[in-house]
Amino acid sequence: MSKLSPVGILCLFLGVFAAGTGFPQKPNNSVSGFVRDSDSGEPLPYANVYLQETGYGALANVRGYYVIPGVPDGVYRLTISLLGYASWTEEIILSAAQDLIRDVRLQSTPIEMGAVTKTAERERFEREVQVSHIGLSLRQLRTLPSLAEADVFRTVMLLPGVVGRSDFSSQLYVRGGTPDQNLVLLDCVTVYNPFHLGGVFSTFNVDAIKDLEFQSGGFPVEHGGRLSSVLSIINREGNSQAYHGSGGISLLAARALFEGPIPGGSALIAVRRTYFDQLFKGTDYEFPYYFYDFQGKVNFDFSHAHRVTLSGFYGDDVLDFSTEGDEEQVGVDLDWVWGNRTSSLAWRWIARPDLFTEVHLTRSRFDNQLTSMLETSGQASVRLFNRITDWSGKADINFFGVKNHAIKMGCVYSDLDFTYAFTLDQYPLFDYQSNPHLLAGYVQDQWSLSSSLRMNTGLRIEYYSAGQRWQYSPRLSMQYHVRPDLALKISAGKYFQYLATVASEDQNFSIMDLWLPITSRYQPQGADHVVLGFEWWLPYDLILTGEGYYKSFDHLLDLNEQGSFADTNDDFFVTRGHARGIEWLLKKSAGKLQGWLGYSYSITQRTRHEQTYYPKHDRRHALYGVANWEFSPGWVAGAVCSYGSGLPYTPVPGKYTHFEWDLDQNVLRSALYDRIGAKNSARYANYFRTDVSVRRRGHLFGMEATPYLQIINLFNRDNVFFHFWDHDSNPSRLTTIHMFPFVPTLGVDFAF
Amino acid sequence: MRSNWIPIALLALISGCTRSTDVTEFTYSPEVNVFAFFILNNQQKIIHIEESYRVTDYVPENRGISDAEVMVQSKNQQVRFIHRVNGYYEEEAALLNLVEGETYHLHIQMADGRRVKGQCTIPHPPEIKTPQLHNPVHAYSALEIEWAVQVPARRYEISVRGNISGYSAQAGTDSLQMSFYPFLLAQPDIYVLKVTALEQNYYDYTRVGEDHPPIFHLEGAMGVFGAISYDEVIISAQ
Repeated sequence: MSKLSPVGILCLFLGVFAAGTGFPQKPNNSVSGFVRDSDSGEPLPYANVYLQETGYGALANVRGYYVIPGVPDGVYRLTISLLGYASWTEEIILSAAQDLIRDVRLQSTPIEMGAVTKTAERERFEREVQVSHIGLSLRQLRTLPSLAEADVFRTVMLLPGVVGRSDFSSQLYVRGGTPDQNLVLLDCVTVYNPFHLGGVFSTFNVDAIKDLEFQSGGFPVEHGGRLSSVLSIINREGNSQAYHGSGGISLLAARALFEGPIPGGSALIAVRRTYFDQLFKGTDYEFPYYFYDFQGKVNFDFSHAHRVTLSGFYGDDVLDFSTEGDEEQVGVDLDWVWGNRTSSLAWRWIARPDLFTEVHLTRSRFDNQLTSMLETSGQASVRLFNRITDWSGKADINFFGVKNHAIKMGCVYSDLDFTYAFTLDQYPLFDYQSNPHLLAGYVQDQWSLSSSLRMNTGLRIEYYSAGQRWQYSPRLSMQYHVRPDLALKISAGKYFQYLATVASEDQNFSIMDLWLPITSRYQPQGADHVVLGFEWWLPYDLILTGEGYYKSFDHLLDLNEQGSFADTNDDFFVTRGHARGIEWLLKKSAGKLQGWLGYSYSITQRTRHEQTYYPKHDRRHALYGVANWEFSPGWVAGAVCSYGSGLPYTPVPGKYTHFEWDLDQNVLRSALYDRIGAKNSARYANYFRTDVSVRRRGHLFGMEATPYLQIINLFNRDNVFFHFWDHDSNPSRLTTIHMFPFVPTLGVDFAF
Repeated sequence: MRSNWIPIALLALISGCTRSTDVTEFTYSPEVNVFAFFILNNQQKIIHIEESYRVTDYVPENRGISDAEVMVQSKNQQVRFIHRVNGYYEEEAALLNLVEGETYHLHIQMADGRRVKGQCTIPHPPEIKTPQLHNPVHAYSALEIEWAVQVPARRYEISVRGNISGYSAQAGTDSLQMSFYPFLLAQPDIYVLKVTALEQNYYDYTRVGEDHPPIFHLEGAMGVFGAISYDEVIISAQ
């Protein structure tokens, strides 16, 4: 199998379909349908659907689809409930192997304390096996204080097990992993560089997000190709009932969203652009940089069984500036554009009520193009270009026809194309192209062995064309309910990754990730996860979770910054390592006061050339307090308190005179250089930051308007980004670069 | 209930305003720092000895070590070096003859008994084949350079310097030829083109980077015992 032919891939997809449609169908009745919001038509995930006074029931999936299979003939009361919505009940009669379809729209209501309805989170806790899994609500994303713009990654960074190395980067280090080990999915499309402004902001416009799920470990076999975590973002479908708009203006950017019904479905578009390049134009503070992004989604419902969805994300960062040259300085005219484009065509097909199928054709592209004119005595153009294109086909089949089993199987084929080119005028200095393929198939079964014990077993098989490698990833998760409100959890699995970013773990800042496929010279990067924990639902909608984990890494690639340009054998260091830790989370996700307290204790180590050290993201203690409180009708206050023990760095205990012979001038030159100590053997001061916000919902010019004030680093704590020794002064002087100081920002959100 | 929040808020406020020290205190013992460097073409030898410093130390202007015993040995010679000025050492009497391809051993005995050892092989000098003398090259275009050598060195550094314009540029390669792209910015002028061969010790010494430990090939000291050889031609760019 040196190369996968298109026919072979097609056969594989057809095989999966055939296997799916060939599932046995029992001659019993079934009830199925979609649960939606009555106002917007948006699907309501994880609603509880059951037949009263029977043991038959189901949980709506993330698309709002439910099915109760194998129901005997009879008269039943079908009830659907979800916290925040009025329960819906209807008497139904089932007979003669009937497949009854009931699409239901629930009416939202104010939350009544003491009501018997449960949150979606509680429903999932009772019916699914979920380890190291956290869902975040839109309210949590929107109301937490942030630097000008609400940010998905900044919010995820406040969860136990996740480390952010600085205020200037949203990159996530999850349970000892590096940022390139996180699978970021937007509507099932992999996003390779989900950041703007060199990582200060994530690319996702919070207005368009419907659902966000984050798995910090032990994720099931449907996800692969990454070692550490999965962040899945599903955008809203758009209001299918009426036309609506919303938007916001902050000190950084303006954004707008429009949604509404179209014939046969719904549509949504969201746009955003920063404008400080325009605000400060012509002043001393001119910064010729901006970013914009555009998201769109269109749904067509051809029938109850068939839906086609087109979605896309297009965003660019643009930096455009020029400097005058003189005899000593090269003049530069720089035009630098980089950004993501993702497109997805999804077909949802309910072949039978118990067979829910989704097929995705996706394309994810990241382009980075830098064009510069250099000018001294002559003139030359420099062009740096890199592009990642990921064409993927993915088919997933959910089969609910076997009692106490939820079977899911699927396959994915990815055609990856990487181009790196560097030209000086017409001369190509560097030209690298690679086109590996990745084929994966998986099958998993969530088996309810009893009312208190559930087990999720799965196997993922992957074929990677570079090196023609087959990898097998068995994974297992179990959840045992000691009591209805207390469950013990365990998860273990193998994970492989075939791409890596060209990054050194030592670098403090990177504008973007440059991805490279792992060549046949290197083994695929690997990790093993073992997670053990519990989840306990306490009164007042409080959830207490505790998890301990051990994660081993092997064949990790770390850029060798001192590698020889001409020697491809020393481009990367191959490292191994492990991470272990415990995490506690006390969370409240319903009511006027919501938020969480999180604590994690973790140890991460890497071994390179038999030298073991703590990588720069090894944060021993991390403590987070997150709250948003609707303290009065229309008023919401938010606060985030973050504490982290110091991150490692390589100390400079000494200095020495470094001599170098100037080959051009034939003279000996000298300068004082750092004499560095053992790698990452010292730690920066502890990190502490408190952010607060307040929002007031009201009306302005006939629109719903929510002005807000946010303060970053309320106590103006000097958190250390990094420091260095300045040897130009004698004795040498320590210079410290700090992170964000006290920064107040304000803005307004509106909806019409 | 309200009173319970007050100590928590105060604690948060206090910890938020507290500034801890940025740097852990380190103990560091200064090391012997040797720069021993030979140039084949002009038989130049530089040997300098000093100590490194704690990062917070004041560094004096004259900081060489004057009382070390320095000896360089080759297949046919053993030459003693004595201190001249500010940590620099020169041959005491007989001159050390540098021969391409020959290995030299450095022995240093410090006054306090510490010993330093190192060895280095003089790289074979390159012979520039292209561009040829008197053959004009094109300004504002990449300069194709080729050189020949008896035994290849670990690294070659190529540099140009304009006679009138003062334009200079440098680039390195592991191979025996190069398209010298910095010449795209070179205007018509007379240039000195130089190809320098670096042996392994000196090349590793120059690769020191931020947060990366430098690679020294010395026993008992930091620094380098390295050597270069070079060839240069005058070229006219039109």
